[in-house]
Amino acid sequence: MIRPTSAILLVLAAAAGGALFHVSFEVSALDDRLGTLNRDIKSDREAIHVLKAEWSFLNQPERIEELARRHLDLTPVSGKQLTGAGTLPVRPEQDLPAPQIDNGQNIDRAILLDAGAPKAKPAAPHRRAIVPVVSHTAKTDVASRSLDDVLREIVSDDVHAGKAGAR
Amino acid sequence: MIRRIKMESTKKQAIETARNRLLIGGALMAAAFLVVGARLFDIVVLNENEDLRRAAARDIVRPDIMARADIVDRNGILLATSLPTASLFANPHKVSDPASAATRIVEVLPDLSEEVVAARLSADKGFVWLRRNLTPTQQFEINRLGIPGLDFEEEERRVYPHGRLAGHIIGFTNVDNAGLAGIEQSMDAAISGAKEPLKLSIDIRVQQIVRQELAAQIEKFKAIGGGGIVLDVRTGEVISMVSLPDFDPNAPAQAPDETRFNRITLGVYELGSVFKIFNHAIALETGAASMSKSYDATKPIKISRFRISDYHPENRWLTVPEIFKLSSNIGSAKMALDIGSERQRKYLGHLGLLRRTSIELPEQSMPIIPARWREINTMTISYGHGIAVSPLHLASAVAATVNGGILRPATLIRAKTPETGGVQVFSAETSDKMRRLLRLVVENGTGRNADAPGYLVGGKTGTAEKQVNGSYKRNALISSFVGVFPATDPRFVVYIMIDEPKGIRESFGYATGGWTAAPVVGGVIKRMAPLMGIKPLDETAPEIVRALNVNLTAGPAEGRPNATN
Repeated sequence: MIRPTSAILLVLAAAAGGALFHVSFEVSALDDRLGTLNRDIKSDREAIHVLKAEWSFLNQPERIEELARRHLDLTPVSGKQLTGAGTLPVRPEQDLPAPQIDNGQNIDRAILLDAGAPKAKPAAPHRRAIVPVVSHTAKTDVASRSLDDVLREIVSDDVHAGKAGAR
Repeated sequence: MIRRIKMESTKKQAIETARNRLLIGGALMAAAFLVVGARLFDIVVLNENEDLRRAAARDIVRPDIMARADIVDRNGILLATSLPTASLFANPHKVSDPASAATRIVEVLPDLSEEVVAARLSADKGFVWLRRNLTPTQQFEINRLGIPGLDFEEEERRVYPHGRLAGHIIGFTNVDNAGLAGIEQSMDAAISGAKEPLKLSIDIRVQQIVRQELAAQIEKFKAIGGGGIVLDVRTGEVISMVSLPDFDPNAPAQAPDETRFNRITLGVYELGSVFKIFNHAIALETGAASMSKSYDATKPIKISRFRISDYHPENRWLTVPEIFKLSSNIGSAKMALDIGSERQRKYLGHLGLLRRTSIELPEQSMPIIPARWREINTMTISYGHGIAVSPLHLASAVAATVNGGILRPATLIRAKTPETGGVQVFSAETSDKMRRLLRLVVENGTGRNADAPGYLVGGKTGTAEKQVNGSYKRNALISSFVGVFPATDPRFVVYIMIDEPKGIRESFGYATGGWTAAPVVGGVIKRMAPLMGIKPLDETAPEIVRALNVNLTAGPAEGRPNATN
């Protein structure tokens, strides 16, 4: 005959064992997940590192300049285009139209005048000639090279260096 | 009865013994559990954090620290980095069909020979290298082949995204990632294993501007090379340093030796008339000459077998500002005699022109100075002959002359707190006079081609004949120009030198500094000033005219004994 205390203890022991197994499996599953995450983080970091290098490579001033010349209608800023707020001319006060109230006579006149005048043709949008800033020496097409090409060159340089060292 | 009692007592004794033993055993057990309990308490409650930390250290991915830290420019743009690369190796025992595997590998890596790969794959070894440092794309393609027995080893490779643009500054490393030149060599210890990227004082945009403008001019004047440097006069920081021809640090082994030569720091040259800046500054500082003094430049100076003459002879008495404006060798030599050899040498030493610079590059040279400082040396040094310094020496000394007279060591490293110390070489007053004189040269002297409207460029031309085998060659020139801007309160020194330019029709056959280097300085300033946030000034504003005014006429007290024009 099992005493009630023993029965309770037995049940508790079984429950503890079950809980232990559960926790143990959970930990092992979490550990697997952690491993996967760590691997992912590592590969993502490596990818970010490579992308940073590629970003810098794609931002070579020479390449940007070439692309800007090809696709944009902009030229470098010159000193003449810069000014401070203090040097701006003050708007002459006497030229401001005085606010006036009239009964509508002048408005008709203005409209009539406008209708009578020949319509000015809107000026054709003036497209600035794209002038190369400085002629390039050693015209390499920087815009179309990729980091991968450079890496290939590096590697071929290693091969080259190896040969030179072997001599 | 007695026996029973005896028996009872024996029984009692046995029970007593058993109880005692039980007690001892129980006490031992209790003590053991107490120890376990105490340890449990210690681990769970007292040392909780330490264990968490230990667990964290095991589980969290190491932040990606490469063997070498990155190098970035002053705006954080990546100039050098280490990329993880993969090297391909194979275990030949696991490769089932070496011949077909070799064919497929060579399709992805066409520079490998099929026979070599096949031979390696059929070797009786457990490990053979097939190819070091694959690009990510190549690695992906090899993986896609799905050949069993191939594997990759992780390695690191130094990459310079901006290629030749900053090649001379950054330098390069060998395959084992040890610095072999430039910053990579001089800062090797600081770069290896550092977490933070190394920040240089270079601005890659200005670097591009200088390189582009200089390259165009070198091509135009059929020169053999050239160099350019931009220096912040307030901090001594090098903003740009270009030496042409240059090389791609990504492939240093393929670069010819002469392209690796850094003309700015390693080359020492007799730089010519740009030295008159120091001659005038020393004369004004020591009181050997004043702005209103005049010198007789009517005829060339003959001293022993030397003859000092002017390039554009005026054949008249010249005032001190006129000597500077017209770049008169005769006048400068006479001023140098008034200064004296001892004082000249002392001040050139203070300007750092007689010792190595402090720049963080291994490629450096000691200036070449006369062994004995005789009178003739003093006279030739006044206009930049008989002393050879690197362009960096010159730019640094010019910065000290115009920034209020304080020499700050030139540096390539961006400091967290800008340099405020330095050595006072000239007085602020002398520095102010020199700024006026430099502006005079660009306004209506030999350096007019360097002007950039609104930026008040001041500067000095220099044209020196190169010495070849001990004698000067008339048609091999080092033409240079040193510019400072804005002249009222200089921020930057821009120095450009062009090696052996040939005169062209556009320059009327001249290959002098004013025709070759000065336009480059003007072009660089026009393009870099807006980038550096320098506001253009109104050159006709009265306060600016007053700040830069120079009186060209001789004063009443000093000057020629009898006035003959």
